[in-house]
Amino acid sequence: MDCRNVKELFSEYIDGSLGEIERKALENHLENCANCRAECDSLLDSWEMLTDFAVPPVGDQFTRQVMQKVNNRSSQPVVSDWFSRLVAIFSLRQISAVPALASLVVLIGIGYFILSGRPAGIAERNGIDSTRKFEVVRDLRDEEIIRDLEIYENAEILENLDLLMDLEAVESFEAAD
Amino acid sequence: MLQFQQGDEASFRTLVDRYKQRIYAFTYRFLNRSPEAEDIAQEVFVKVYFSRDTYRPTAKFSTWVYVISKNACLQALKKMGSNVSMNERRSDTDLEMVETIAGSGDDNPSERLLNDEKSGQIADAISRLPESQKMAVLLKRYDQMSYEEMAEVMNCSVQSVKSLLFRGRSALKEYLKEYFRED
Repeated sequence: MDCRNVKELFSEYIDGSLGEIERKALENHLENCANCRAECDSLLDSWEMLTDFAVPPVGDQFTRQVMQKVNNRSSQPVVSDWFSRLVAIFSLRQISAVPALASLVVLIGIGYFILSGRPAGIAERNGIDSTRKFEVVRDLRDEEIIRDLEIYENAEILENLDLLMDLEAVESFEAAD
Repeated sequence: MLQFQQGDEASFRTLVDRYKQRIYAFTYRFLNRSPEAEDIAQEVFVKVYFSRDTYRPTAKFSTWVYVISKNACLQALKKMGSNVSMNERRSDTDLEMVETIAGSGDDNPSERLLNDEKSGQIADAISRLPESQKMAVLLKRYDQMSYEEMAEVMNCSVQSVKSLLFRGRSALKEYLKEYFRED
């Protein structure tokens, strides 16, 4: 076992996780190599020194505060959780979703204009206020319907007139008889 | 934990009592003695409470809770921003601690100050390690985890754990060299 191999095993040696054969070989090397022994001691010392990193005891109210946080979050409505997920989906961090969403919005817009038959064009040509567009369009359609009805009624009147004339002709024919 | 999963709320309190000091010690050391460490340790248990359904009994509870702690610490580090600001915050707490010790009427305040100084130097040395090496050192030195448990917590292979530990130890030896020369 050379120095390089031995140094690579120091960490596992300190942890006590080396197998019996490797451990004995390493210890034999350390007995005969002052450099490796010094390095191993130095590693052991610094590892031992970490014991001095003291941690203060946890606060008396720790468990109570945990339970309070749990209770507070349990009583929060589920909506907020859904809202935060929604915000997360639409956040700028989801960069890959932004072009897809933009395309979707454009497609919805195009679909809306195609399906709605672009009624705004007629109103705008007549210089009509945009808030009244729908009403005006409805009025225009009403006018067409009324005109059609009038034509229909006129046709009926004409038909009735023909009938009357026929009747009169028949009556006058009978009177002549 | 299994009792808690089955709806026994009282066993959650027992879990908190059993693990609170270990988890707090981990967050305290990982976050370089930040005053937020206790709050983050509490958040770990809140997360345990609400994630209880995701726990599988095939894993040890201690391993699972350390995975949550590790993630909480990494998130906290991101939120806290640079190490500079954290060191500033820690300096404030150090000052508060010195004032508390000075005014506490302790039998041996100078010894406590010395110990605190030692702790501070070790904390500084550990804080200089990259996060993965720091995690490996803390889990091995203070929580006596096996390589396999560490690999599970750190989501890496056993070989990576050994390598991180080796590099962490070597770096710490250099950082602490000046300190134990004075001794």
